[in-house]
Amino acid sequence: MAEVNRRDFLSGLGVTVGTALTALPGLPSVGVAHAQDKPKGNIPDTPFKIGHMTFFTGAAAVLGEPMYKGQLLASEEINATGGLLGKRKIEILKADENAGTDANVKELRRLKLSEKIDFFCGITSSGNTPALGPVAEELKVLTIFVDGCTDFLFDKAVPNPHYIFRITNMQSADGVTGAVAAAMTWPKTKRIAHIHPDYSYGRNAFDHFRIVMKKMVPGAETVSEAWPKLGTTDFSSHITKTIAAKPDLLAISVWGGDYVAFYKQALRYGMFDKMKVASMIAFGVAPHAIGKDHPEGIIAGVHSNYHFTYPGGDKWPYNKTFVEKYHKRFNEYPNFQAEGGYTATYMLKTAIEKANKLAGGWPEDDAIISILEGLMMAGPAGYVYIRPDNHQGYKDAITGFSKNVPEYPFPILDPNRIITIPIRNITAPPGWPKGEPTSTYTWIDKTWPQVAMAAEAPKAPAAAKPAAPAPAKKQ
Amino acid sequence: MRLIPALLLLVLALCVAAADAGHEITFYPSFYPQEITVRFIDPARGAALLRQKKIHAYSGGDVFADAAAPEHVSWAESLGGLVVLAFKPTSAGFADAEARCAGAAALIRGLGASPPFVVHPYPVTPYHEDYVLHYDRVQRARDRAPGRAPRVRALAGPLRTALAAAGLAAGDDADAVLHVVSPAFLLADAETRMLGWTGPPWRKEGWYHAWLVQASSSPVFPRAAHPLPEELFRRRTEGAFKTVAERVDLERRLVAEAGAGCERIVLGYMLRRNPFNDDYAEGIQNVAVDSHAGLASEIFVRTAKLKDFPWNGWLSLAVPDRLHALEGAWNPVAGFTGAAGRLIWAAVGDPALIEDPDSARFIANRARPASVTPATEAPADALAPGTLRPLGAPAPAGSKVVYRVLLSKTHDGQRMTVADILYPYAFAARWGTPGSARRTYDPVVERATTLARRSIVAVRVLGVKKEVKELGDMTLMYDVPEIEVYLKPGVDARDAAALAPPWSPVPWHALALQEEAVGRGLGAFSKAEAARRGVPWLDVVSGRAVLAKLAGDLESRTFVPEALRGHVGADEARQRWVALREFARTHRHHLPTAGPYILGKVTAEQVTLPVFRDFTYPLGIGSFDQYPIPLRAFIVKTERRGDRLEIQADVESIEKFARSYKIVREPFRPQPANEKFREPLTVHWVVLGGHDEVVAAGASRDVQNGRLVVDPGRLKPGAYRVQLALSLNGNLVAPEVKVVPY
Repeated sequence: MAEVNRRDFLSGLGVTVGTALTALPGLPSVGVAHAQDKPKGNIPDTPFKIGHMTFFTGAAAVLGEPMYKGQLLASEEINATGGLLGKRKIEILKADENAGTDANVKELRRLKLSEKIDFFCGITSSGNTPALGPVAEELKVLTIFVDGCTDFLFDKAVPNPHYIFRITNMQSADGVTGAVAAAMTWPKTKRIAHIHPDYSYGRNAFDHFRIVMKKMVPGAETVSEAWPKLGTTDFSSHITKTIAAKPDLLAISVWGGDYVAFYKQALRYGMFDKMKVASMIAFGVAPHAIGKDHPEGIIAGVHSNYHFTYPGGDKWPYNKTFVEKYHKRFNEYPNFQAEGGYTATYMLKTAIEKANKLAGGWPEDDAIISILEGLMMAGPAGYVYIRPDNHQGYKDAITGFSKNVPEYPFPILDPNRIITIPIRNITAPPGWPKGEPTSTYTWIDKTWPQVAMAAEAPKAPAAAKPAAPAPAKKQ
Repeated sequence: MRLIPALLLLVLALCVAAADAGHEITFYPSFYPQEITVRFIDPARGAALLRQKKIHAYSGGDVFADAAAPEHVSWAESLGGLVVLAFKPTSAGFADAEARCAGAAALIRGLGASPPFVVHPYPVTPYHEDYVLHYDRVQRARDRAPGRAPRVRALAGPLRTALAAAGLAAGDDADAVLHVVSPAFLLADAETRMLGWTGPPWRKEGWYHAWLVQASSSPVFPRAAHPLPEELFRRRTEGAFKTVAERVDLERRLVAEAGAGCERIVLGYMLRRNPFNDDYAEGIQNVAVDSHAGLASEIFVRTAKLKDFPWNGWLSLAVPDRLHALEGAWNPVAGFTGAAGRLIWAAVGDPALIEDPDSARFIANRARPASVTPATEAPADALAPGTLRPLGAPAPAGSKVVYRVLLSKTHDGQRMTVADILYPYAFAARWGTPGSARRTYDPVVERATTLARRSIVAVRVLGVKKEVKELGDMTLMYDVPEIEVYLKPGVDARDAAALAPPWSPVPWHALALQEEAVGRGLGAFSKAEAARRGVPWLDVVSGRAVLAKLAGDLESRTFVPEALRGHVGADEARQRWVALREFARTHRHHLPTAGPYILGKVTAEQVTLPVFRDFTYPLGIGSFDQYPIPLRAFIVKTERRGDRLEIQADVESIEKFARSYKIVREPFRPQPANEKFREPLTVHWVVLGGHDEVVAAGASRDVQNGRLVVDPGRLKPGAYRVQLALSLNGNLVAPEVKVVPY
């Protein structure tokens, strides 16, 4: 395997820090500010029924409710202009994902067969998308999963999807993004400690973080692994074990309330003063879910998807407008699920409008699907692209550094240090054989070059850059 | 779905495998805080700590009653107590009922509202579910003509201040005494709080409190001379009525007749205001408050969430009792009686049913009533509750309740079995029946179990089902026994499920240890029995040395209680005793339970309750999230159409955002069928005739054309009036009541 200089490696990956997106002309975008072409043909005025299933109760409601709000906001905006194609008002039927996988499958069937939904959306849990995906295919119900981000869905459960799509990044992006950010920020890392929850997400994060660090910081060794059992509330033994190993860097994928319990306990041990910390998902719940006592300057992952402060200011109007409207409507700031629900709704709208332009009248599902495949549009988080081969949405992965600012009662990502990575450069490309534990893992393992151990060697030849396939546009 | 090896089907199991779960594990067993600390501090210190945001809530009254509270403090309001005027029998000026009634009316006018005192001259208050059924009586009591006001003695506080301001305060020469009688005081000698049983079923109903106001007796609150309507009480509590209207009529007559002597008159009620920290970052949210118990309730510890955490966090509470030894011993049979004890047991114990915070009903918890059906007999193979042996022959019965019981591991790591949940029946029979073996009797157990023992015929185990919860690549499996409980004829179906549910949060071996201790004269379950026998009131913490020694003895004998022989094998018994020994070694007490929190470190200053985040615990974070924000509904318009009444309503809904919420009012629209709520919009109604007689009564959820419909049936021609109140999500606290002619 070729060796490259780390700077060139990062450059090849397209990693940027604190830069803004540039709008591409002609691409569809979220929002309805732009003039809408008159639809072709006869459009029925019957309501367009969306079955939205997410967590409205239980621990995961902190993710689910914003997802629903995102879709609700988009639907209200669309309805205010007359509805889809100016005629069909969106009607959302809510279903609580907390009912359990079996019940969710039954509810999807009921929604399609009894309520006659036109479109199914939502889903937070990766435990549910592999169960619901095949059923949606069987029922032939057009579906965009907002989350449920497991690689397993399109790697194995529904390898050749027709009716189902997913809009948020895949799980493997978390570990990869965290590792790329850590390698870029702390390239002299020699000793890495890991704390991950002892179930598949933790193992996925560990695997992908480690494979990337092996490529990008090859001199670093793993000096400690801690695997808190699910439900752990006392992290002190994991913290003391980690500190005792004297790492330079801690990689951690503990999430949600478990992460909050962890960092508050870690503060007592001065852990954040003793090592750098890279988290995959510290800020990946909801902006308000983290306290101001959270340490600054750690890599605070956002599930590699979205943080409402990026792109900030006026640099990317779609985000500015979305955040303002969302906050005005719901009195809170959106999380990645809210952005996903919002963008999914506009993706659907865009596909329906394009399909109408082609054939007139209300388009058949297959016509909408053919538009969605390969569709790229501008959403609050940036460009999102639906890969036609696996129906997976791709958008640039982001992460950043925790920072407290007076404008918000919770920490945010430092606006000057946001790290973005083109997702195509950290995800297995179309046609890559299915792999274990994931296709992305084997792709990285087999194709990424290894950074030379000598510190910041001269610029490497262009041929040694990592594979970075361009998005395959369908048009 | 992954295939589960057959062997694993035999046990509660948690399987975790790689491949397909995301970060969002969506089920976290037990409830939000990862640890609860209960500190024993006086109100002044409580106020200081709340100001400094060092505690989240104070369960013991409004510590800011006399001072301005900081902005970050909010209050959880509940019924603090009825304000009862008790005339002295020796008061010459108030020798007859009429003078006393008129005197009370005059006193009310003199007092006026004096927060937290609320004028309400009737024992059934807006904090009682049956308020709407008595609404006319409340208005009539308000309109009573005043006479000469009595001179009244009262304890220091806002009431005495108000009395003094009105020139009606007196000392020992007073005509009457003003008492504030809390629901806990009223129920002290009447309630069931034993193991996982909670009762009686009508414990939160206004008519029952009205009865207790007259029937209770203590040195400071001597019983009135006026004869009580015992027959009405018997008929109501034994289900001797055929219709809802008949039941309501009984209750109204009972309240009227019990208070007819005006020796004890309810003037109003006090609001209990428990302060809690509502700060954006450091406070708590999702606070469910029991309408009678306030924060010292099961629902509070199962809903309270720290604002700084999506879940987890250290919840810091305080109560006024400094030393638990002063407020009562801690044992699960007749202990945990003080303010601290109640709060701690609410977290450590886990009842079969939880009291609904906003009504008089119960919420299914660990014993889940699946059906209540008529039955003519209990089958021969059903078990007699006292012996847990088959009846041998069918026995007459009136109804059958089927429960699904959610088992789990107990804190000592032992998997619960059917033996654990059946054992309370045998325990009740053994300790609740006076007999020659006086050491195995406790009068408090007798009283607390009277209703259950009087009602139950037999219990039958239908089987133990395996229930599976799939969470992606995680498969959680639970043992769920299905149990039939046969009750005697005459039990009201409304009350049946709460009478004797098959459940105990205390595993049989821990309970047997305490029984043996009491049986050997080392203590007593109740304070009264301890005093009578001159032994310590059994306490699992302070009595741990005695219990440890005894546990060693029982372990060496692989002890199994008589009633459980045949239900528990030697290996299981051995394992239980070993586990208890190990548990006591690490926790320094002998009270493992199946509850969501563990009784942890106990000091003179505080108790720590770590969460039992064990994946066999069947209920999870958010299980009771429909209870923290009670919603109300309002009658906008009523319209008579033929023989029925149609109601147009406004309803409240919640908009949650960040770490807060707001309530918005909007016109009622029927909810989609797939959206589940605690309870749909319901109208509670009673039709009264010209002589105040109850003609019809009921509750309706029938919605037609967006309007609720009340159909009282065909009534005889005449002038009637209908009292109506709406409940949304089951909330019947302080409903708006409308009276319409009909």
